[in-house]
Amino acid sequence: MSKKKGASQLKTLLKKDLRLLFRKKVAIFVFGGPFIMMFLLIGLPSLFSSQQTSSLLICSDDLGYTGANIGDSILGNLTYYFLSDSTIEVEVVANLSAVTYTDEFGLYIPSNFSELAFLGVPTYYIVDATQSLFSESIFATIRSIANSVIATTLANRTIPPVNQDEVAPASIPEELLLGPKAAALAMPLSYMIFLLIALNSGSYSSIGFAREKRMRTMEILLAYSHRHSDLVISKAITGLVASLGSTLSYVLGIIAATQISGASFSGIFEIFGLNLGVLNAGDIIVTILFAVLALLISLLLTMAIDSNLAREASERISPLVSIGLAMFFYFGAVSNPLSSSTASMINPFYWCYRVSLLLISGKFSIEIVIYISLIIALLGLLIFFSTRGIQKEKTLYLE
Amino acid sequence: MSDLMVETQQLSKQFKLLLAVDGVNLKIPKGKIYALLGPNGAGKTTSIRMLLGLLKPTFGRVIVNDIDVTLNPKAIRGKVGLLPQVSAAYYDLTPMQNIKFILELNDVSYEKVSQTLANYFQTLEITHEMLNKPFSKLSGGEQRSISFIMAVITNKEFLVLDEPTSGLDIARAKYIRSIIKNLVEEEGRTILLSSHIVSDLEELADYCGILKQGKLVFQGKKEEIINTYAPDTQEFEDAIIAAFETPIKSSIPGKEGSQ
Repeated sequence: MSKKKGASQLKTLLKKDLRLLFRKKVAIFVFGGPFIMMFLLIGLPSLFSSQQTSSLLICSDDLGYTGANIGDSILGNLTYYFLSDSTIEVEVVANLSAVTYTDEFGLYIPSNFSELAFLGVPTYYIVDATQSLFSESIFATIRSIANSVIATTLANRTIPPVNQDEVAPASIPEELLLGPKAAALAMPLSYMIFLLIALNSGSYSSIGFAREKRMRTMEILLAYSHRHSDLVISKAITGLVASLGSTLSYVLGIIAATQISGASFSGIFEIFGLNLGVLNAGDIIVTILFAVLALLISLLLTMAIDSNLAREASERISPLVSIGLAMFFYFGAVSNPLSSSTASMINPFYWCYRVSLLLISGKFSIEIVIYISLIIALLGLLIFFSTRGIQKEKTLYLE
Repeated sequence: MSDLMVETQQLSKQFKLLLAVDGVNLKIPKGKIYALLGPNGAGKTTSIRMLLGLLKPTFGRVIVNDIDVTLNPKAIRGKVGLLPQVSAAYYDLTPMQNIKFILELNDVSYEKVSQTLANYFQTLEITHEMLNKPFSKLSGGEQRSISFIMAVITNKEFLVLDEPTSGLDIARAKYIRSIIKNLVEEEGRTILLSSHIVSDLEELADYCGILKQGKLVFQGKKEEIINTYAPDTQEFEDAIIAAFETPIKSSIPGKEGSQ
């Protein structure tokens, strides 16, 4: 069989699968459902509530003891590094008590060092910054800026050396400091991967092999297709189209609702928390690419289970496995965005997430090669098991 | 080059405790119609699936058109036209979309077969309107006719037709039989016909085999059965029924059909 003939069969199978996906009943469910769901669940409540903002930095411009506006200097440096970063909101605090009583996570720098009057040393405070939605690396940068500013601004003054008090600080290994880009991407990417997989799990049953078994068309497909892996690949591509369509519908649902509520909306990427002030177009493309790769793994995983089990069992179990893995990945990523654990390292969604972060932070290491090799090997294995599954006797016999 | 399109040697298939096919030696000559007869559960469909490489035999060997399907099941893919026992088509697509899908899958150009298709549609009374409404909206007989067209239009040298006239009215069954005859007589194709309808054997078959509980209890020319038991007689039908051990539908004139 020529390669041309094989490619032609794949094209034909794909055309058929897409045609079945875009038929009215399925299209309404797959593409219309997320739009309506998001419009009702997220968009409409926004009519009645104000947008939440996150508070991160607190500086005072009170000249205080030193007479130097260190707060402004730090802020100036910060905005130099994080220009247009709307996620960092500056609040003013005048003393340590105000810091103590706040509920916010973040770095608090009372720039006037009024505390000197009581403590005798210039002090800044870190309140468990690692639990913030922002990564440790941002805080590491801020701390280095703060130290630098204190050292240069106060160089000619007779002030004791900086004493740093940390309130529940996290010890951060050097290798985990992936930089501001990875920090800005960590949460949005994990959310994006989880969202894509969650939205996909519902639509799989309408495009997968369970449906072919129900229609009794498996026999025809198996008898006429030269490469049975084409059947799997065609379904996987159709699944990707369905999932990306669902996601787009989800985004459009939110946009429509926010437009009605009159809330400010600066773009699609904002929905996923992607900060265009920090990330460039290349970073966004890498992010989307690896999110789609995670989705492809999820689809093939579902398909491998679906095709290897009898019809009734497969329809129930296959989406659960994928979504279960996605949940483990997501909660792991939320609690520790830039750290690795054994549980996360055996999760294929984490591999995509980690490679994306490493690539974007410019840390080209053996870790990337290992994870990309694992991803390719897993995709090959899943295609193999799915293909083997559809050739099994139970595909034709067990109902 | 063998004169046989299909040759099986001690073909067997075991499903857990059930021996579905037991040492079957089929011999189907090229350019002929071979009727594989037997009641439900006799092993017809299992045998067919093994011929197509869809099921792996537990024991024995299958050779189709000089291809050893047992050793190389991939080699037979796309080389046999198939009409499954149950109408297998996409119910949400129209008959025309289903036909075009099968043509594209088999790399057959629509233009090349459009005249043949038009003839089939006319013969089987498939109207333009039927062709453009969802397959699910067609009657059982219409669905079966479209499935039959999907199987034969692929221009395969060897066709496997599982119960081609099942569920059809008398007129459509007659038309289908005439098309099958033409495919063999004018185009030299080989057809394996699985059926439990006696009139399919009477009107179409050159050769026949009778499967009973997975075993091939009779194989030979149709005349051998007819010479043994005069056609259109009670004995003829009784012989078939005895072989099947279950009542079969009779199409012999003057007899009540029983299922």
